Order: sequence, then C-alpha cells, then structure tokens
Amino acid sequence: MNTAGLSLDNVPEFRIPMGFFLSAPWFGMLAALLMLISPELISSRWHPSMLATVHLLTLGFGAMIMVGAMIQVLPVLSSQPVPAAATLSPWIRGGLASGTLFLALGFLFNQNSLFYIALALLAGVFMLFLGALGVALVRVKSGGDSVFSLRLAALCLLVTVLFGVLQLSTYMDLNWIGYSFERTDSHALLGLAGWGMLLIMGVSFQVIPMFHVAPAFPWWFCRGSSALLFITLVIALLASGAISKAALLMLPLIICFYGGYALYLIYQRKRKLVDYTIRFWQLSFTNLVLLCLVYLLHQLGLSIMPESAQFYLLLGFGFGLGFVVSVMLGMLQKIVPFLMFLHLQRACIHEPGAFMKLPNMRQLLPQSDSKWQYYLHISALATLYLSFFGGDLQYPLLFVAAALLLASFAWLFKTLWQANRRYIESMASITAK
Amino acid sequence: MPNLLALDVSDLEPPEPMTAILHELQQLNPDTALKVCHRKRPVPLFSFLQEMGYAYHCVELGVSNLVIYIWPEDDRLLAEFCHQQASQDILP
Repeated sequence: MNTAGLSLDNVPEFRIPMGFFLSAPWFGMLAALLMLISPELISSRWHPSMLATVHLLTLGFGAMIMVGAMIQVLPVLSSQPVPAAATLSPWIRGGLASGTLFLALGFLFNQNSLFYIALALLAGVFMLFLGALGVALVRVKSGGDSVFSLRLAALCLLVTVLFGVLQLSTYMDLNWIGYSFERTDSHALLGLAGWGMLLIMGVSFQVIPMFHVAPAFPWWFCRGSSALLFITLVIALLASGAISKAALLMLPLIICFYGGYALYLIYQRKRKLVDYTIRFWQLSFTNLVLLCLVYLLHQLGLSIMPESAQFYLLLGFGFGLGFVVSVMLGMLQKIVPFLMFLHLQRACIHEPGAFMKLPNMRQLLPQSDSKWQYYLHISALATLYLSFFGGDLQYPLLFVAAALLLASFAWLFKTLWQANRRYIESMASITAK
Repeated sequence: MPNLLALDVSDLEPPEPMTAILHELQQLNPDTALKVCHRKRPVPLFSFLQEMGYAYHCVELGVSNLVIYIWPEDDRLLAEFCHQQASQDILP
C-alpha cells in the first residue's frame, strides 16, 4: 500500500484557483468591449486595438484560467502540489492582471512607459509561475501521459514568454537587441500550437476518460502525438525554406488527427447523458478539425477567402475562441463544481451527519447556467465567423458578435460568482457546530 | 469469518464513485471489507480513506481496470483476507 504524498492537504484551498477563475471573465469582457467600440480592428492583425484584444484574451483570460487550473488540478491528478502555491498565487494573479492591462494600454496608446511596466510585471509573473510549476513537474514521479504533455507545454510557454519579451523590445526602441518583427509568427505559433495546444492535449488525456466514462487514450497516442507536435513545432521554428514549410503542413495534420480521435473517443463514451461540458468539447474539436482542413486546403491553393490576411485572422480567432476558449468554458462547467464538491465532501468526513447537507454538483453550478453559457458562446462564435464573409456587413456583424461575446463572458462571471457563493454557504453550514 | 462486499463504480462519472464508496463505508458491517471495481486510480479517495481510518490495497488488473480493497485499518484479519483475495485477482 503506497500512500506517500496522496494527502488532500497538498491541494491548495479552493479560494486560490477560484480567484483566478473569477478574474479571467473581466478580461474577456474588456476584449469584447474593445471589439464592440472599434470593430475596424478586424482590418489588420497589427491594428493597436487588435493587439490589445488578442492579449486581453490570451493573457488576461486564457493564461489566467490555465494558471489557476494548473495550481489546483496538478496535485489532484498527480499528487504533486505546485510549491508555495498559496503564497505565490496572489502575486501571480495580481501581476498577470495588472501586466495584461498595462500591455493592452501600451498597445492602445503606444506609450513606452506602459510597455516597460508591462514587461516587468509579466516577465516577473511568468518567472514565478514557471519556476514553481517547473519544480512540480520535475518532482512528479508517476504523472503518466498527461504530465509528459504538460512538461512540453511548460517548455513552450517559457519560449513564448521569451519571444514576447523580445517582441516588446521592438516597441521600446531597444533596437540593439536585434529582434525582428518577422518573429511575431513564432511567438504566436509557440503560444497557440505549443503552450495552448499541448496543455489542452495533456488535460484532455486525463479528463475526457475520467469525467465522461469514455475509453482511455492509448499511451502510444498520448506520447506520440505530443512528442510529434513538439518536434514538428521546433523544426518549423528553427528550419527554413522547404523543411519549415513541410513542418508547417505537418502541424495541422497532427492536430487534426488528435481532434478527430478525441471526437471519436467522446462518441464512444458509455453514458450519453446531456452534458454541456461534452458539447463544449465537441464544439471545440469540430472547430479544430475544420480549421486544420481549411488551412491545409489554403496551403494547396484552395482558399475559402480571397484575402490572405483576413484568412489568417479567421484562423487565429477560430483557434483562440472556437477551440481554446470553448475548451475552457466547458471545463469550467465541470471542474469548478467538481472541486467544490471534493472540498465539501472532505469537510464532511469528521462530521458524519454533515453528509446530509452536502449539495450535489448540479446544485452548486446548475445545468441551466451551463446551457446558457453554451448558447451564448456558440452564437458569438457563429456571428464572428459570419462577419468574415459579410462583405459590407462585416462591421455590423462583428459588433453583434462582440455584444454576444460580452454577454457570454459576463454570464461566465455571474455563474462562477453564484457557484462560489453557494460553496461558501454550504461549507459554513457543514462546518457549523 | 471475513466477508467482502462488492461495488462496481467503473461506469459512474466523478464524483459519483467517491460518493458511492463513502456511502457504502458508512453502512459497512463489522468483519466486512469493501471490494471496489474502478477504472481509474482515485487519488483523492485514498487521502479521504486515510483520514477516515481505513486502509486500502489497490490492484491494477489492466488498462482502466482496477480493484481496490478497503477495510478498517485496525482489523488485521480483514487486512490479511483482502491481500489474499487481491493475490487471487492477479492470478491468470
């Protein structure tokens, strides 16, 4: 019997990840507001409002959720806590929130001083987080296939941040560093296909079979797809000419294969209950597979859009909002009430009578809330896609998409806030003498 | 005479397996151990069991096929019984 390191004492208090989860929707709302007031941002990836929107979504929403989830989920899945999580979390959350705001303001007003502050805050935050996460990921002894992917994802995040810092140097007239804007694609590719993709792959290998009673991903698939994706990404970034182009064609093939196989496993699940987390998974993987196919067709000269710049914006938004944000919204509907239930159940152990007061997961986060979240998000996504084909109606359609996105992120905050309130009340009721 | 109560939670979604196991443990008769069929190593359950004064023995029979024996930690007879049962599970 091996019980070493399995104590729930290793899991940080629930208020720690919840702080990250409650902060993230505000950045989603800010990004949606920017799209709402300046729909012309869709004209170019270099538009200041577009740069601000993208970083509000990727850092403020995406990274905020991912960091909070890693701190809580890693010890539950692998028994290995992120060191000093309770002490570091407020600093990481505060630094990430303020750093993202300064960065977005820097893009909007093109002020060097704002970039300097953002650089110091974000570099500090990611050094803290990656340092602590790195120690945890090295210490994990039996993390399985998920930890393998998470290690590669953490490595990609480190290089993404490094590229991001160098990227900022060009805004701050630090030309002596010699960084070229041509590397922007590397920064984006590492962040999306490296950190984002590998993290979601690692998490999905564990949570899809676990939460949805679906068949397990075979070990060869988990290790093989993660390793192949990582190696192809490195080749695409370091090589040039035909080799780099071939690697850029391989990437969507690997991702498409992963997405298709994940959809197949979800279809094979034993209990086909109505579950909005499953619908979010299906939505995100369908998006992923279609985007990969559309990209491959584009590379073969069969583009769905005449303008290449607009096509890549569509791909970026599709991957970010259609895949990554869909996964996050779905996972939050499941992981938040699950972790709450786990903490409440633990509080009941020494008070056998308290089991009667234990709410179920649906009472903590009602299914009707998840349903509205799903429909708001899918409406925003559909309108956003439509705006790329809207011709003269592009700005009005983008305006509607931004309004729906704003409603979706506001709904997320309301749902999480109410769930947290129910959790606090239940905990007080269970622990009351 | 030690007894074994079987519980199959392998088709349940989290947190139902843990809830079902804790429910059965609360009603467990003396001289009885719980044999749980599970598809995953339930890491959080193990720490719960420790806190509640139970010992456990987990046997992996294959991919997504685990058996966990649970008994009160101060019952040596049940401990021996569960280990014997577990060794029979492993036999082809």
